[in-house]
Amino acid sequence: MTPTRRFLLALALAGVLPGVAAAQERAYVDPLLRPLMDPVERERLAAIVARMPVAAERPLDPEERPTPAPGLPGLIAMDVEGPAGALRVGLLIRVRDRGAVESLRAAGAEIGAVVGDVVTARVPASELERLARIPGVLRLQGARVARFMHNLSMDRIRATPVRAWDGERWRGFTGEGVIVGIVDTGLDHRHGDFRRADGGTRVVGLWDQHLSGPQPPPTATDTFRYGHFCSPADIDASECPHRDTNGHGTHVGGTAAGNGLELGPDAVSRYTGVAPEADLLVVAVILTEDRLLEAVTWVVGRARDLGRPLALNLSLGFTTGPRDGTGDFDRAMNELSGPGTIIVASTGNHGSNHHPWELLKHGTGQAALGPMSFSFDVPAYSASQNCQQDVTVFEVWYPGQDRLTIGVRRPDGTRAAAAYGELVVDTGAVGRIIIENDLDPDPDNADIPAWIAVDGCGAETTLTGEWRLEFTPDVAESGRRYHFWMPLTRFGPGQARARGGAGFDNRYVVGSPATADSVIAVGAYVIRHCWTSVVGTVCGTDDREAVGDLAVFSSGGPTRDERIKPDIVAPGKWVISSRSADAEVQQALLVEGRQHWALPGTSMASPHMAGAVALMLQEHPDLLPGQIKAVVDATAIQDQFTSRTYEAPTASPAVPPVVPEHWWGPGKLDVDAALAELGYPADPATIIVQVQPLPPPEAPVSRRGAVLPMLQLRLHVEGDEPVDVLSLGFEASGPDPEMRLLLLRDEAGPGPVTPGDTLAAGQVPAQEPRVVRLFPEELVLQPQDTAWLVAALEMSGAAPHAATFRVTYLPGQTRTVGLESLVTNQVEQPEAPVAAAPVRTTVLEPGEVFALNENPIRSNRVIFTFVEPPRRAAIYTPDGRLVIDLLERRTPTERMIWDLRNRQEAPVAPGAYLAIFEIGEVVVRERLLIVRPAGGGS
Amino acid sequence: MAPEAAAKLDRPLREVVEASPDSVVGVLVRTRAHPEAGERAQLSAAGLSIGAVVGDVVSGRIVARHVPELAALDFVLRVRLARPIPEPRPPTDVGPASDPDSQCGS
Repeated sequence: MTPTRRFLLALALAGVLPGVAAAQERAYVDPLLRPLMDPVERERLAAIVARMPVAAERPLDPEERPTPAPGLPGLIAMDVEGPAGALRVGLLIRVRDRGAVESLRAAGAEIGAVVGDVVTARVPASELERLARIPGVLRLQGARVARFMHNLSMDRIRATPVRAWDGERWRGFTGEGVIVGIVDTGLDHRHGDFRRADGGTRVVGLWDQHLSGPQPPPTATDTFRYGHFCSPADIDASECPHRDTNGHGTHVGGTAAGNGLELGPDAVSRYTGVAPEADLLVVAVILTEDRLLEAVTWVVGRARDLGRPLALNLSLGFTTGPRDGTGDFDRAMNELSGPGTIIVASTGNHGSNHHPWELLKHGTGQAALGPMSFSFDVPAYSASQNCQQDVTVFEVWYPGQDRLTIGVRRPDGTRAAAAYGELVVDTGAVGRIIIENDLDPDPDNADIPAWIAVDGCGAETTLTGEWRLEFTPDVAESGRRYHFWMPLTRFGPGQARARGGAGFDNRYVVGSPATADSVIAVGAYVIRHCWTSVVGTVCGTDDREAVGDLAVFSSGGPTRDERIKPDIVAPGKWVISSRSADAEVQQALLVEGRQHWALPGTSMASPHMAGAVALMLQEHPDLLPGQIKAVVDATAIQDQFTSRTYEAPTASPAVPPVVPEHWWGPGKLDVDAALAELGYPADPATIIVQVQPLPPPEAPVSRRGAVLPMLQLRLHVEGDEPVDVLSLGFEASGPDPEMRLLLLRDEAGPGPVTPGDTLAAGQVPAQEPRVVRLFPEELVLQPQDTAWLVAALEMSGAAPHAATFRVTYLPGQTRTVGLESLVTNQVEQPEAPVAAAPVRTTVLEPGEVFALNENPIRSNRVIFTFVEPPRRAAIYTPDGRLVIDLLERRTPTERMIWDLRNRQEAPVAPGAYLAIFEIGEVVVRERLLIVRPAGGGS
Repeated sequence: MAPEAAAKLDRPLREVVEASPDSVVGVLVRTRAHPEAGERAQLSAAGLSIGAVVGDVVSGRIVARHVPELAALDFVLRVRLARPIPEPRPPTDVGPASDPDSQCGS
């Protein structure tokens, strides 16, 4: 920009600003492109690209062995051109108008398609900065490389666009600084996906509750005296005995936080988890409620002790309980959750209604509707030796205001029933029926739990056939539903399962801890049925939902108290992730490299969300569970599947209206959109500082309070975030021992300087040049905002006549911070100091022969300045008595100081005095008013 | 067991106390409020090996025969047998792809 500013003397300054780039609009630049603006980085990447096959440029056969993706060049379309190997990059450019397209072409862009306001182009990477400044260019986006990937789920949840491995390091949202907690079957800590590029472990603590040995470090609140704790040092020294022999935890951990390095730095992107730079806290948990609670408590406490935000994954849970969030475990989860402590859990694998098979496990009715019955079928089986091994159990919850008689009818028509308050054990030819309808209302929710079991004890035959559950209302006051679930069913050595029939469905089957208010509950959808394993292409053999549809096993909500669950749905069938070397794994599940394997389950969906939480916490470490739920709710992907209802064809007439949210929640996880909703860290704004010397005033006087504008500063924010100017530095000098350097707002902006508010001030203590840093109390510039400032000297009046003052702007002293990106000192400014023109002051106005620095006199001295040395200089009292003759002991000079003492060296009293000077042919009589006694300080 | 104490136990725990008094069981104890040091000492004195204390929920292990003493404490509202957690690894039935349209990860 050409300065249009005119100053006091209207000195034209255009073109004299030292080293300042022209300030103009700059397009948004894709974060993945920013490394390309660094010449060194360009050279490094060009070398990588030059070695790459051209595979990324042609369609890939899905069965083809994938070409390793070498970091950033594997994500953004790039090639090299010419013998010099200049790096080119593929772009999608958003433009304001067609004129910008021509400008792009003129700037060397090879334009491809122009679709609406989007242009595809290949451009020299070295030109990115210039392209970004072309007027009308709004956004530069790197063209993503379309590739076949095994770890589809990262694409499906749109985590791929938010972070990238550039061949040596991660960029973008990676979970850095956040802890991912894995409470599960453990973790293969030797797996390369959980080690940094330097080989060190990313596990900051691992507690195996099953082993004995060193105990876990106590937290601020709890001490646990069992299990075996492995520190990072233990793991790095190969002295951690923990092994994940199940493999579930390692798979889960890989999805949430694996970094893909197991297969080497050139293949990282194939099996990367969501948060590849998060650290991990791991508990190999004993599978009981008390040990699970202790595991979660320890991880939460440990993360807090480490001062780190935590995304804790629980891909496990309970199949019994009130399912309304009031249970002890759910209460504890709510208690442990908080700012920066987020718990994520799988909803469970209890099925969805569009697949009405043996997984139907729930039924519901309403007392007000009268008696209702529900059928279930026990298949043919061979009786077990232990009659209790052939069993089906139902858990019932009904409103405390109602009273139900619960009956069970056998296939032979015989029946047992228990009214409220009764425990009935009834043995018949077709098995034993136990009905516990004698339990007190639960004090937390006032509802009544009851249990039903049918087993083979006392039976003369197997239990095969159609059974019926019968609910007869004795009191119907609540108007609410009762529910029952089938948490356990197994018959015979083959563990055949009873199948829910008429009236059964798979709603309300989300289990604890996913039912807790604060816990983020995650369901599962299908991303593939088949994959290329080490033994060829294989497929899951269970039901074939459409890819993209809800997984058949994904538990449906809502909770029993009608809250929507799941909170989000993520890929869960089939997910390829890290494999524990210590787990037995079917060959057909192993994929190329044998270090990763495919699994289905909401267990596999949950860590996608946990990883996503880690990315959110990276930039927003104090987020609350409710805030994260709101964000994923607002940004979830909706498609043709997420509007399905999956209504069971045989559902009870008492069931509530079917809505898609009972299975899908808000929809499918979209990490990119969620992060955008939270607010990306801003593209760091640049503050452009232009400094120009102001023309010296014609007759600058140095009397007390006089202000000498020296430099003008124009500060402009280029970017989308506010910038706080923390300090500006100057060098100042001049023979005024008490002068101050001021930073003033220039109210007029471009135009004559109009000093306004003082933003900062600093003393310039000595005559020698001194660095003075000014710290504006509040100088925050909004995006694209411009501030005009003036650096000025404020005189104390102590300067002699014809004194020279200098001020120089020191660019190295400038300190700024972007208030969203928190990037500091992103400043574009002159490289060299900018000096103001020296200002020579006078104390005499034109035509004056005499001046004094202040009158009334408040300091302990007064300075007289003369146009030439006086011939007479004396002070009198008003009545004519001589106080002191200043020339009695001194040679007259142009500058004389009276220290307010009389001839006897005693301080004079405050009051009026008369000074008489004879300067040349002029006699000056000046009335002095001393308002402060001498010696009283200045 | 005193009726007041028995009423604080859930049925599975009551059955374990009666059938296997020497067994060590995991429990979740609900207290009137977050237990202070003195109350924790009373829990320990009643035989509970305290695990986690989260708000008004305390996890721990205890020999079943000592459960009545634990339940008799006036600030203990309920004692519940810790639930088991199903083995987390899911069934994985797979077979060779016979369908030419098999959806290999697309």
